[in-house]
Amino acid sequence: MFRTGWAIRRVAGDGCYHGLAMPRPARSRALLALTSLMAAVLVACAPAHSTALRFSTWGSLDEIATLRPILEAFTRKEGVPVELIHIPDEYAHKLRLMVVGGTVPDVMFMSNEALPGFARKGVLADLALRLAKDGQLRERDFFPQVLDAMRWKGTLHGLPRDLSNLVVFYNKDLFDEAGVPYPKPGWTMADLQRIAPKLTVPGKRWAIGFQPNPLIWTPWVWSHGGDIVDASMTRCTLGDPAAREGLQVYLDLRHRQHVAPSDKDTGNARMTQLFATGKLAMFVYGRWAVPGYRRKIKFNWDVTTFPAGPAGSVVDTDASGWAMSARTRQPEAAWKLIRHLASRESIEAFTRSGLIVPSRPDVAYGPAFLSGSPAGSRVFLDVIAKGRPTRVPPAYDEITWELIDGLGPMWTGEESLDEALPPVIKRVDALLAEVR
Amino acid sequence: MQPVRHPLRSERIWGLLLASPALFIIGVFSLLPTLASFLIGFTDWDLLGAPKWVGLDNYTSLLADPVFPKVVANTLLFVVLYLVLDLVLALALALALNQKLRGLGFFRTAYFLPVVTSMVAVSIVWEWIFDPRGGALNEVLRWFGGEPVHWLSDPATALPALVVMSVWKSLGTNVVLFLAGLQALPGEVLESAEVDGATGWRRFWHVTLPLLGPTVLLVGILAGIRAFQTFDSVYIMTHGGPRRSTTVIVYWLFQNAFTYFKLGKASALAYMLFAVLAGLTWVQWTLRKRWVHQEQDT
Repeated sequence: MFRTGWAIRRVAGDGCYHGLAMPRPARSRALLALTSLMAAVLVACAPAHSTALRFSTWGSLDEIATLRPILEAFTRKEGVPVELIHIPDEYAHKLRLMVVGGTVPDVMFMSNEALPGFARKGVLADLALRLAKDGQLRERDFFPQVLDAMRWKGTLHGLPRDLSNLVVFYNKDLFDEAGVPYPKPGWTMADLQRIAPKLTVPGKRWAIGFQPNPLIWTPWVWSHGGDIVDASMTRCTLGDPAAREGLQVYLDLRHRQHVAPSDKDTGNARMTQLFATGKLAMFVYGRWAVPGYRRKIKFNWDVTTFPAGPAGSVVDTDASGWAMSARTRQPEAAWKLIRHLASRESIEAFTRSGLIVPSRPDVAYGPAFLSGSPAGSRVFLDVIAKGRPTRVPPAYDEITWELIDGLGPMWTGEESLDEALPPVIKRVDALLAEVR
Repeated sequence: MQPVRHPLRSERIWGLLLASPALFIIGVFSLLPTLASFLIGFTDWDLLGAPKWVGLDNYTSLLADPVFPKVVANTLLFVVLYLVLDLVLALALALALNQKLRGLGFFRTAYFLPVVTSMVAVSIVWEWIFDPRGGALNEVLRWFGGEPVHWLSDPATALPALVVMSVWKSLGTNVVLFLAGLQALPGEVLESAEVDGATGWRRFWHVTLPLLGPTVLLVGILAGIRAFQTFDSVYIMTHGGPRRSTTVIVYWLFQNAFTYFKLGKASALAYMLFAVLAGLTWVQWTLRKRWVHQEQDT
């Protein structure tokens, strides 16, 4: 390496740059050209200043297709152009890098799980006063639980677009075939355990899907009165009797009753595909599956509540919505955009695709949400009252990874509850104790 | 004595000036981040807000982290498996392709095709090959009466499965390097070995392989560095699981930086990886005198 460097210098000394031995004026011109080129590069690197509002969001192309006309309507009405920044994957990661780079968007779409991380560091503006003073939007336009999900330590940091919760999707044809009455809202885990064997054809068809994902198994724990972390978010409570009971009931569906498919049965196929192809009678999932099912599913299907355990039927009420940068140069315009996005007309447009449970009761209880399959869409609204947002401690992402990976062998049956839980609890406790 | 010259007449200045665009780019996009990440390694930073200086905390907490030894072990296992499989297969293929065979051009292209294919596409194809239900590999096993294996979801097989895929993907590069090495061998030495009665395996073991020493060293160092930097296949296929069995250093670094937003810990990890790589390269370099017989003094 050093020799190479030395060799070049020696060659240079030998006068090998003859090709560049131009007369002096030409050299100066070349130098000038070089410096201006570099200046141009530097200028190109600097962010362009414009009056357009910068707005970031994730979502499928279908969602973006719904969003574009809404943004165009805003520009026509307010005269403010909007630069849409579509980030389909690794959203939180890219948003953080934009914060560091000083290019944080004026308006950001945000989930309630990601919100505390940004709110804690003062990235998001407080919207409470703006909402209180607004002439067009009022607090009571939204479900209170959903608005709460957009709060961090009591401060409102976003207006919600939608809420997400879990229900049971079921295949009516399979119930008819087995001669089992459909599960009615308010049904219980005991009902599930009773009817499940009748809906199962070993190796071919199963009563209920099985997803080893914390999002899906948390309602089993909650509905038994347990939790993943305590209210102060200092201790992992999965080892407490109620939580263990919930996990065990879920595990037994797969390993004792054999009414839920094992990994061997499914391979890499996802539960949502198994349900769509008629191999599952029931399946716990959220509203976002509806647009695809409306297009693809040939059989009759509907939704009902998550089966009640000893503590009732408790599912999550999570939310996503629009937040404003605390550093925006155009707070008035940004608020107008958020207000426009959260208006009845916009939320109705988002709702019509079937993708979301709207944050606004005036839309939720109207035809935009309730018409079309599934017939029982009201279930999504009826469970809001008892639902609760997911607790998001600072190390939420890392804890979620540990829960997925650490409990993996338990869900496959390689380890028992007693074997799998203690190391996971220890690890989660350590992550909760990390002071950031 | 030379007259005093205008600075612009000095070739050194001109050299620097002409190199300046490249120096600028390397400086801004390579040297500065390298220096910055070294400093970030001594801070607690989640990208939002100001970094907090914590001294050596990241290094000490890494050493105390129960995941750390597992990640190091995974990485070393990956590197060793990869190096052995890659070097042996690449050399064997290069020897085969060095013969005068029919359709040689086709085979040389075929082995190089995976190299130019994106890792994402390759990973998706291999996900199907490894699918426990109806995947190609298990179907083949079934013909021989084998039980289906959960290649990617069993902690015992997930890492070796990724190694196999990575070797398949990068084999072409090393085959080409070995081929170049083989074709540069002095014909007279091989011929005289043959005259002396060394043929087949003996000629390979005692003549060809020692002569190929510099190429083996080069391929070994490059393949080793590549193995240490494995990331994309893990990111796409296993996310570091099951049970952290495929969490290699670079993937864990990425997780810490961009999933858990512990930039300080991730930067410290990067410098630990750098130290290990530098150390191993130095060892390989020092040991080369022992087993690289023919090296031109450059």
